[in-house]
Amino acid sequence: MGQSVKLLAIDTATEQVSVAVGDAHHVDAALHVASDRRHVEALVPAIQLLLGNLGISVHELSAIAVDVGPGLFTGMRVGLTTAQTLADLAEIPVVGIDSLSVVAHGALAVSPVDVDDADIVVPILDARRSQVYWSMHRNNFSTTNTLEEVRRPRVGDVAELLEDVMDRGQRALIVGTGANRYAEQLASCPETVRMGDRSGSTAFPFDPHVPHASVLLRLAAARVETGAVINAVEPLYLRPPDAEINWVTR
Amino acid sequence: MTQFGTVTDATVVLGIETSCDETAAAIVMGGTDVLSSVVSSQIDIHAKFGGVVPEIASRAHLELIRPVVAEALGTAHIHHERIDAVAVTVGPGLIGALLVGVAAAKATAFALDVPLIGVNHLEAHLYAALLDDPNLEFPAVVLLVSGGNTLLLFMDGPGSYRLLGATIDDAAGEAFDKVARFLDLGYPGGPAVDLAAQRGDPRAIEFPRAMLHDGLDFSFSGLKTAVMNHVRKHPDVSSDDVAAGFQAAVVDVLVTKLLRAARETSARSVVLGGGVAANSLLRSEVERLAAAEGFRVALPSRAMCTDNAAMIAAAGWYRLRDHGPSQLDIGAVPNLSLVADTVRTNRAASHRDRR
Ligand SMILES: [Zn+2]
Repeated sequence: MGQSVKLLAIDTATEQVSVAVGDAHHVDAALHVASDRRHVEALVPAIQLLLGNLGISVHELSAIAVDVGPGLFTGMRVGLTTAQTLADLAEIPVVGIDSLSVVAHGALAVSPVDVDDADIVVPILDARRSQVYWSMHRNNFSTTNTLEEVRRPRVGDVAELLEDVMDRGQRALIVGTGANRYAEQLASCPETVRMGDRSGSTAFPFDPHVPHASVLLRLAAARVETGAVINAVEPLYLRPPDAEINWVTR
Repeated sequence: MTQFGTVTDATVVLGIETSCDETAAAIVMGGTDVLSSVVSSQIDIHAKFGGVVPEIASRAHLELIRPVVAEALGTAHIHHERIDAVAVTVGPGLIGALLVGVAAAKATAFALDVPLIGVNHLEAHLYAALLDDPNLEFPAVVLLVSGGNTLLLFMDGPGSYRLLGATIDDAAGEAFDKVARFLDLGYPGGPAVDLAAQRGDPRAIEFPRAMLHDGLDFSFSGLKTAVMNHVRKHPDVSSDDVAAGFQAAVVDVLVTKLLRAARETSARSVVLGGGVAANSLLRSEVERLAAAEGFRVALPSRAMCTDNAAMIAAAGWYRLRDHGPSQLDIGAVPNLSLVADTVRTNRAASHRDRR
């Protein structure tokens, strides 16, 4: 396979923590911690374990990939800070991929539904406060082996999401923690079909409704191979900060 | 790589501080030699809310941590390969804010293969005076006054201290903030009250001095209520006089107890720390009264009183030397207390002494 790029992928954009090392075609090692939000505790030890087992150092990597959200703000910031710091010190690029793309691509691997070219894939993540994050992807699987984003990530309530889906008038293949949480409401729309529910799948041992570093790795590696890399990543919050006052001062 | 046990005067520590609304990084060599100290304050961002907004602070830390660390290295003319250890505030503070600093510190320690040192922010304030005056004479009594804390500590030497007294309700800095907000003096409250008080007459209104002759603990909530009641009863009163009277009452209590503690413990020095230690009346009164009684006085510069990362790096150097590094799986502890930490520290110290 020749000299291939070697990436470390970090996903902490939800309650879970996952890390993976590999390239566009292989996952050399992956680790998943259902961390219960202990992102900062789990992340560096997980990276240390993976790289240690593979016998490589951060300085031998060709890039770091990170999930930039949307998702859990504190988790995203732990991932972004860690990825950016490692990339800066190893003097390698950092690649940011949004969480919804990761979920959409991960779902393809385990979908019990045959994805047709006429379908749209709609990853949906729970944003709390009765809201969801979603984006839309056109199936280019037959030609480019990937999905093409046709709707940038956004945030809104389930009614807005349903309106968005109806507007397109295509069969919508839904997946993600938001698709689970609002399953009943979403089922009321005749166009939605759930993905990622093939039980007992051995092809993908992780929860397909949560973004995972092994999928992030593949997407980021493909981007690195085309040379489309950058040296700084930004979080995708989609929501303004709460201006809830906490009377803490120095 | 510096191993635990070989911490020397040449050991270079990168300090990182993100516990509240200041993103700070510093390079300190040998525990006392500050090669750089960069503080990026978010005061302007939070001023319109009249207080620190946690999510806004966390977002700002994420944006600022990279340039602030780069500036600390650049100012110190240090390449990152020269860093021997990374010290970071793990608490107390805002959880989202702390996490950014802890993540950056861990990634740095891991990538450079150097020790990580988790530091208690309050303990670090004790080292600020040492940074300004490395010849500080021990034992010392330290008055640590900030928005979150009012503590009196007895310090035998670096890393060895015990609690003498603490506030039973509001912290002194909290009282400054609340009174400033009540009088519409602006944000942050400490400097705003300080400025107004300089225009007012401290004897115009006599506010209560709670627990003045009663132990080494403090209480400020009654004073805050007295200020509010006075202003409600006398709506035309000069805000400057109220500020001056309030500040005089706080400083009187703080200084009286600091000196009593120094006398009772036979300390050689009295030391100020924390954001409120920048208050001009507190500084001048401590200097005047402590000198009159023959105590050495250590007043850290204003830059060292307020939150900074040099004190984190200094505290980290001593902690690494005396207790070794932290594990890479440590987390942030928003309500980390100095006392619990002190017990652990002292226990470890006495254990070592017996060997
Ligand atoms: Zn402080």
